[in-house]
Amino acid sequence: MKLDALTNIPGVIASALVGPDGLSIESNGDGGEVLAAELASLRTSLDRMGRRLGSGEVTRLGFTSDRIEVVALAVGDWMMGAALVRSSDTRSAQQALAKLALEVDSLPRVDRS
Amino acid sequence: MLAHLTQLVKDVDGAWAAAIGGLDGLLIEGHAITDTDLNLLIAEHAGLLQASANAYTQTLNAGQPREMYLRGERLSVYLQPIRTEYFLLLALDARSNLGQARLYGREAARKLEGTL
Repeated sequence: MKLDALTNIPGVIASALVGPDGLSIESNGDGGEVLAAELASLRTSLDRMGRRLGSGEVTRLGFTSDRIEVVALAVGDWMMGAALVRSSDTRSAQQALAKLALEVDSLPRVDRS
Repeated sequence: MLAHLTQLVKDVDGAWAAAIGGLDGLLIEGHAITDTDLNLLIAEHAGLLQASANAYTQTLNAGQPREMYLRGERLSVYLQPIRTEYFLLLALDARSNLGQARLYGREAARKLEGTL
């Protein structure tokens, strides 16, 4: 599976690959499906923000909450990301996401009709 | 009950109404952010859910339907049965987040099950 490279990284508790409808193409770990749905939701906001700010497409996202760190990438129609235990080093996850982006970019385009 | 439905509409991108109905077609409780006839939505979808339940249990021997999603040109609806007598209806627009609808709809249905 595409996300296998993420699941073995220390600190990763969930990972997800998702399209615009919020249904996970693939998800792993505790809360993986919720992560997928929320990444799709964030993507909608990021697209609007990039458009309104005139900044171009937002492609990388990272945030920290009380308990987790989340890193995510937008690739074409897709979002993929990982949730890690708070204070984990996210560099390995970000590198793995960057590698996965090359594979994900070859997925078929989403039919939005 | 109304608090759960209101929160569900807030939490799901593209959702504009949530309601609980009986398979007899009667609305029990509902919340909508548009002027819409929830009685009609519940009545029509109770019939559809009943028909699918009959097909699955009697003809296909597939057990009770666990969830149902219908997408029309101007209306999309996600249905989550609650026990065998009730169901949760979540009305969605064309660009809705179906992942949120399924996950949070299921969670709301579980919470509401205890109050029915």
